[in-house]
Amino acid sequence: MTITRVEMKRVTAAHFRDEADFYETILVYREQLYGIAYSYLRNRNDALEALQEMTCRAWIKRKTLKDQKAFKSWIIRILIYVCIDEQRRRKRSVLLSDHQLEEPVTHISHSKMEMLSVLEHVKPKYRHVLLLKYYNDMTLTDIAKVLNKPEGTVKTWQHKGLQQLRAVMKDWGDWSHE
Amino acid sequence: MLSDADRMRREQQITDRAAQMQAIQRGLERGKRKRKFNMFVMSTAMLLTAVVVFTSVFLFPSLQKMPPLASPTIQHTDWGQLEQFKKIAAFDSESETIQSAIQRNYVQMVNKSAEKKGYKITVNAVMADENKLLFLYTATTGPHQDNYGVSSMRLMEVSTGRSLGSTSKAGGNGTGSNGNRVWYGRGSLELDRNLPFPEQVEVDFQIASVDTGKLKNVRYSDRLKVKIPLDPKFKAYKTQTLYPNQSFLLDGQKVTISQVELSPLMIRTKFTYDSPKKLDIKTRRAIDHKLLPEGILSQAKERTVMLYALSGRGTGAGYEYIFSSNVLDEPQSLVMRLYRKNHNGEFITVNIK
Repeated sequence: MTITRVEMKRVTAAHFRDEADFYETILVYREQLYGIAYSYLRNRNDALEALQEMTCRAWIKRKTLKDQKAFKSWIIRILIYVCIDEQRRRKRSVLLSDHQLEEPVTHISHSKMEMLSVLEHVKPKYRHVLLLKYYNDMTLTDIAKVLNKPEGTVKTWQHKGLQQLRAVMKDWGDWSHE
Repeated sequence: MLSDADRMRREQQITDRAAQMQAIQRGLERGKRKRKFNMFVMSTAMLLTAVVVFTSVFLFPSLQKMPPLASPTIQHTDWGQLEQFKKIAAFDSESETIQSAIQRNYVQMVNKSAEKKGYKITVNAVMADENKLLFLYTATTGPHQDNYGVSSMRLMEVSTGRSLGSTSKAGGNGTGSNGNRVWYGRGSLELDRNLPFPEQVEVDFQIASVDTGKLKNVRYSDRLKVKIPLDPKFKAYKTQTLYPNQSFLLDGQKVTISQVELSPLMIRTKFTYDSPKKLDIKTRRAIDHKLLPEGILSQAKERTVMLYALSGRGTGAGYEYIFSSNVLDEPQSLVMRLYRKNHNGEFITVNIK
């Protein structure tokens, strides 16, 4: 995973001497972390909540991180778990009543909604790769580090994910033309 | 998929870095509190003396190290029935707004609850103006469960059924009057003052809990709804608008504070860039990135406080930032301080009032 000299200095500086070190290090990756959360949740408030929850979990578990150089992959991994939890919570949520449906909380364009639904049908491990690669511009090497899998496996997941995506989109296309 | 990804990136461009920084800061505060709580639970298995030593050696110093956002005077002010909410003030950037509202009696006590399957939410107090709603609430869980937080809080205007959106939140665990664990929370939400002020709102909560003493098995309550008729005094205060037209240079780019809106719970400042339509996206983003206010130094009769930035977003003409407010204290001067990037310790200061 690409890391600048300044970032490296911060991350390797003796296991976060204090919370200021920890806070500053997370700030370095702020935009990318927010981007990943947003790509999973597609809602500003939920993405900010996920960022908050990730920081909380990372602070509590910071001493379990053995290799400080892997900090970035580690926090991204935590963030993905947080987003998955949130997606599960959404599935469990009670359906909105009729009057709320008339006034949706967020306005989502048709094509965005369609894409979100299509991605929902892709196997989760493949979906991670697609979201990290195509929505967050991460390289397969970086994704492999985040998912803790060999690069070859991630490459396979990428291809299978794209195959599934094409199949689902084709089904959707057939269905919408009925 | 690629066009969807591109659209997502464009959506993100208008996202505020202040809100992201706050989310990280709040997460860190929550982490520190939870860690302290876990350490406390482990220590109950030890002898009482060991517990005393443990808490005095580890717990107390970590409390001392917490960077306080709230000014020390908050801790010496009487918040009456809301005294327990000072726990949030230690790390909440809305604390000066709440302090000012409580001091000026600009608070509506509510104390209405909703309860289901052992989860209970109580809205203790509400403050509002035509730009913002702010709630103080408490949450408790059933036996063998610890509060993990309020995972969702959304509002609806009762008369029209119009959704007002989800709130930003801050909160933390404390001890209630009968010794049980209570989550003390603050939620706030921006209102559109071009729409009628809501007479009555329904606040819809969901509480998250974990097994006692563990950070595992997160469970969620059913939706808990509380209806609150808002005190008409809140719509009486009209937003005051100033046009400072004060300019400064950010690495050669002229930026003007063109408009400042003042209301009891919010200060909104609008920055305009020189010829914004002629700026290419790269230059535009560079200015957005460099425009980073520390806060507004507000000097009132009784005291001077720093009002911190809560959120920010790009606009057609430039950028706007939302700050906390102590307008009810009738500040004589408001001075904005902006970080000068790459210039250690230097600030740009601009008089806006």
